[in-house]
Formats: sequence, structure tokens, C-alpha cells
Amino acid sequence: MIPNDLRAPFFRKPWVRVRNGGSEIIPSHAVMRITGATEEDGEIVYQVAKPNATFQRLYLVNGTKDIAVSTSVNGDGWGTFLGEGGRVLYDSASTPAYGECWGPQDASWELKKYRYGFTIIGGNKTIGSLDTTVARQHEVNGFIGKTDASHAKSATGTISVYDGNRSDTSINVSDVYNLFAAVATTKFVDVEWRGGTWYLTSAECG
Amino acid sequence: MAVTFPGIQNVLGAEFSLTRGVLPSICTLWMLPQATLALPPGTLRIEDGAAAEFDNVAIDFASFRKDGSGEHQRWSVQLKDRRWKWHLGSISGEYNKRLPDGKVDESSKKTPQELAELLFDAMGETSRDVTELPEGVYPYVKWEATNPALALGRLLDKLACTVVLGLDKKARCQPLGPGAGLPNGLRTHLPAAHLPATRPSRLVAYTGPTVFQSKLSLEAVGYDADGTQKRLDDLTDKPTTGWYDEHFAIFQNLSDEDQRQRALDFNFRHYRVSGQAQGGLSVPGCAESVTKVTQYVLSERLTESGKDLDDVGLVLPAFVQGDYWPYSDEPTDTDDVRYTGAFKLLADKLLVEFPYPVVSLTTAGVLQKPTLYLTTGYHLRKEDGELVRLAPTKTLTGTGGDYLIRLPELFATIRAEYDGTQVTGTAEDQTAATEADKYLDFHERRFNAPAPQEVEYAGILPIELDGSRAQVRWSLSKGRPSRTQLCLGDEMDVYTTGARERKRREQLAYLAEAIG
Repeated sequence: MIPNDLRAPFFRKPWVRVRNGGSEIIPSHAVMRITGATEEDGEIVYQVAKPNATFQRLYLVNGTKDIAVSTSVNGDGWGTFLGEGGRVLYDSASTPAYGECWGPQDASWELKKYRYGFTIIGGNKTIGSLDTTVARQHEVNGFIGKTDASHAKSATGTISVYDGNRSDTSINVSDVYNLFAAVATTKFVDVEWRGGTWYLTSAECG
Repeated sequence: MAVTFPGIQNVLGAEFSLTRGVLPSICTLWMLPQATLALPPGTLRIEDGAAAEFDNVAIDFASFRKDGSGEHQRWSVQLKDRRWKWHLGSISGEYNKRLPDGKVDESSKKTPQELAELLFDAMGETSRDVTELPEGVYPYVKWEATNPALALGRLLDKLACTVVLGLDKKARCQPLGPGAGLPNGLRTHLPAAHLPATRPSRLVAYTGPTVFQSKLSLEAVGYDADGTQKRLDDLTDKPTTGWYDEHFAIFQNLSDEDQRQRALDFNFRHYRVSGQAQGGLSVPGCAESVTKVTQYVLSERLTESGKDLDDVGLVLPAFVQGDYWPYSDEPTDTDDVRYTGAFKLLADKLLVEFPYPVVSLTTAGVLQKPTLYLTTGYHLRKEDGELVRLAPTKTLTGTGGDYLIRLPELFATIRAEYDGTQVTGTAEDQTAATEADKYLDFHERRFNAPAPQEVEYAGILPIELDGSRAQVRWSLSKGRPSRTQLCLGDEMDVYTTGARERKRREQLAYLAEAIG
């Protein structure tokens, strides 16, 4: 394989520079939470960390080299939004299959089944001790959930995020706005991203 | 007694010293002055009972003399044998080019006989015999509008041969040394045979440097601020946590811009030869002591060669192989795979330079140094500075010392064979050794010839020159007996420019041609 040849996959991806702001070494192909961006040497440097319980619409995925912890030195690397597809770590409690939707989970570098944000292509492969699959990321513009409390019309409230298998992810999204009638607590709802705000767009009756 | 040349009427005497080589011999005629000497080339005939005849002889020079009494005018006319014509014309061509493995490229291959034929053609010499030229060697020649006679002289010198004008009018190439010896005839004195003390005692075939090919290990190097090259881990200004927490294409923890630029320019891009793949510095197939890697004099090509579409030999380039991350989607190194990307071999610095960093990643994505090897051809310099080369020798009967036969186009090749990084054997091409031994045989024959001697005979004897008969001089004069002098082994006629002086002039003329 030729490093400077167009056949080498590395050179066909749109890489971005990332800096590890967490306290762990970021493994190769890990899902990374974006915490901000700076500029260095004329280049944008994305600050990243391990995914947590905050629901985010977009993540970065690390490349093939691990990224050191930035304590006394900066731990930098190259990541990608995986918009063109590529390898990413997955939780081996399930096996990815084509067309499924997987997404980040709290305190993990791996995608979990039924979560939001990544469409599975396939090509599962274990490299060393890392379980990887090929997936493509898309921005999350909606999810299903349950009201944590009664949610009045024209008010914001907190929604528990449920995965595609209708299980509670333990992740909450606050400031979801209800344009319609009040919704009682623990009702299933559909939430969508409109103009920079989460909105209730439908709810379980009763 | 008769000496005749068309148009010359009253010949009083003649002296013709016929010698070997590409330069013409000179016959001096003494004659009465006549109306003109503007005569075309013709046949010179020398006769007193027996006769010797030479065609296409040309008048070269004439001068005025007085006879012995000082009262009568005489002309002294110098005639050159037909070799005067050989020094006109030119020849171009390049033959017997060697491939990197030491063999002759078939597309340029010519035997000595074929080369001599080309030269005679260029000289316009149609009556020739090259059958006694040796076989089994392929001397390299490069002619660029070169004087063909001088080129023939050089070729014959290398083969320990010469060219003679036969009495049958053929120009005959013959090996020096063997010959017909002394002819029968009435000798006027005893020969004074002597073995010169200057004869060499040993022949040395001094070939070109041997080319070795083996797998050389490479190690990553970088440069300190003062330009000193060091192994990566020994660099003075590396980050506090070392190089392996850095990204190899960012070096984010080098805040000094010069330092960072140096790292981006060289770290994981420059790899230096550190020794043999199987360990140590000793070259497979060579007993020479190697204490420093700088004794390797790298080339950029292998000892192996291919062929192009026109069947012309192709040089194969050096290559790199090893275990490295190939910029794939996975943190998985290659497994002893040839690196097919671009790289530069800075041979004099023992360096391989990649345009992009070449690294290794573990399956967990951890950066480490790759395992890389360079396979290329190289010479080996001994500790005294001389390059290792084939130099077979042959002992002679003389006592003078070593005589070098320079054969730069011949070189031995020794290629190591591997199982992984372990040498399983060496392949040594015998072409150079075989040809060098043949050149030793040619020159041994020349130097082990019988002791030189000069013999004088009464009358004119038509004597053929050959590999041992170096010179024959016929002298005729009205009122005096004619005589024939024969020199075996060397030219001893003090009245004729000697062979060594003529050879010196020939070499100078050849060099002058090359300079232009």
C-alpha cells in the first residue's frame, strides 16, 4: 500500500484535527464527544472527550492512531465526522447489521444498538481487541421519549430519551418546547429539532 | 638487388624496418634526384634473390642529402606502408555494456573479432584476418567519432595482441608471445638473447569493485537544532513524554517552530542504514572485516536486471520492505511487504527519505517505529579505503614486480538470499572471474615469450612478423651486400622509433582525440 497514493483510504477522507480533553487515552475508531473548537497554526482543532449522558446531535470518530491524554502535553490526533462512512467501535452486546441505527452511549467510546446518529453499513471486524463496524453518521433531528413530568402547553420540559427499541437510555433532554396541548407525565412523545430548538411534535393520548 | 616503387627511377639503396601495430612502418629510399616526386601510392618491392612486396605504400616525406663524398646530391625519401590510411576516418558505437549483474547486455554484445572487423571496416581495410583474436571475453568500448586505428591499438593492447602486415598482403591480428621463431637462413652473427630484468613477476587482473546485494536494516533518525543526526529516541529536544504520544504528522507538543518543522520534515521520514538485516555489519559472502556502516558504498540499483520491450537490459531499482502501517482504514501493519510508494535513496548519506511519515501502529492504534529493510546493490570499502574487488593473479617467470591489467568493466556480483531476515546462501556470478582469468592467460602468454634476441641474415629474407617476431629490417645498397635483421620478442633496431615510444605516442594521440 502506498501512503501517498490515491488508493490509500487515508487520503480519501476529510480528516479534522482533534485534541483529547479527557482523562483517558482515546482508542482508535472511538466515538468522541465534541466539547468545543480552537484554532492553532491556522487550523481548527476540535476539543473532544468521552461521550457522556448529554444528548448530542453530532460526534466525531477517531482515526487509526490512538490519542494520548493531554496532561502535561497535548494529545492530538485526526478524526472524522464519518460522513462518507468508515470504521467505528461498537458495543459487542449486539451485532451490527446493515441498515440498523446505532448511536453513542454514556461513558463509552462505542456505539450501542437502537441509539441515534449512525447508520450501519456492515463489514464487522475485530482488530486486536477492538470490535469495529462500518457506519455513516447523520445529524440527529428527532427521537422518541417519555415526559418526565406533566408538560404544559407553551412551556419547556424535560424528556427522557428512549432508543429505537423503546428502552430508556437514561439520557434526558431538557428545554423541549410544547406548542400543543398539555401532555401528562410518562407519556410517549415524539421530539424533533426545529430551527435550533427541540419541539414536541406528537404525544401519546390519554 | 632491386627496390622498386612506381615512378621512382634511380634507387641507390633502401632500408625498411617493418614493425607490428597500427602505426605505419617507414621505408627510407636513397635515390638520385628526378623531375618529380608527386607520385600516387603504389607497390613497394624489395628484392635480392627473394622478395617482399607491400601495396598501397605512400610517399610521406623527402629531404635533400649529399653523398659520402659530399659532392653529389641525393634524395632521402620516406615511404609509409598502407597503414598510413588507417588513421583517417572515424568510428562510433558502444559495445559490451554491462548489466548490473555483471553480464554483458545481449543487445550490445560483440566478440573481439566482431569489434576488430568493425574497426577494419572503418579504416577501409578489406584484406584482414581476425581469426586468431582470443575468444571468451567482451571488452567494453565506446567510440564517438574515434580514430579507428587508435581504437584498434587500444583493443589489441587489452587482449595482449598486435596487428601485422603479412607478406600475403593481409592485415593479421595475432596474439603476442607465440610465433614461428627464427627462420632458416645464413646468419652473419650469433644472436644475443637476454631476458630483461624489467619483466614483471606477476600479473594482476584489476577488476571493477565487487557489487554486493543484501537486505539492510533501517532505523529512524532525526536532527538536533545544530544539524546533528541522531536516532529518534536520542534527539535532544524531543517532547517530555517521547515521540510516541505525538501525532506523527502534527507534533503538537513542539512549541518551538524550528523544532516542529524539523520534526515534520524528518521524523519518521528519514531512515538510515544501520547494518545487515540478519544482524551485525558483515556482508554475506565476504570475509572482509566491517566495523562501520560507512564502509557500505550504496548504489540505487540491484544486481539483478530485467529487459525492456526491445530486449535491452533494464536496471532494477533498490526497494524497501517491512512491517509498517500502510495508511489503511485499520491500525494493522503490513507483514514484510514491499513498499511500493515513492522514496529517495540518498546513497552517499546511507539514507532513505519518504515523502510522508512511515510508521507502525499496533492493533490498538499505538504509534511505534516500523521495521524496515532496504535491498540494494553496494560496494564495500575496506578499512584501508580500497574497495573490495576481484583481483586474480598469475605468477610469471620474470622478477620485476606486479603488472596490472585494468579491467574496470568487469565486476563480481554477490547477492544474498533470504528466508525472512536470515541469510540462506549467496549467489555469486562467475562472469567477471571467468573473463579476468582469460585476460591473465592472454598476458601471461605475452610475458612468458622466449627471451628477446636480434639476428642478422645475409640477403633479403621475406620474413613474416607474428606474435614473437617483432621487427624485421631489410637493408639494401648498391655495392654492398643486402641483409635482413630480425628481432624476436622486442624491437631492438636503434635507428627506428622503438615500440614503447610509438605506443606512448599512440596513447597520447588517443587521449588527445578524447579531449577534442
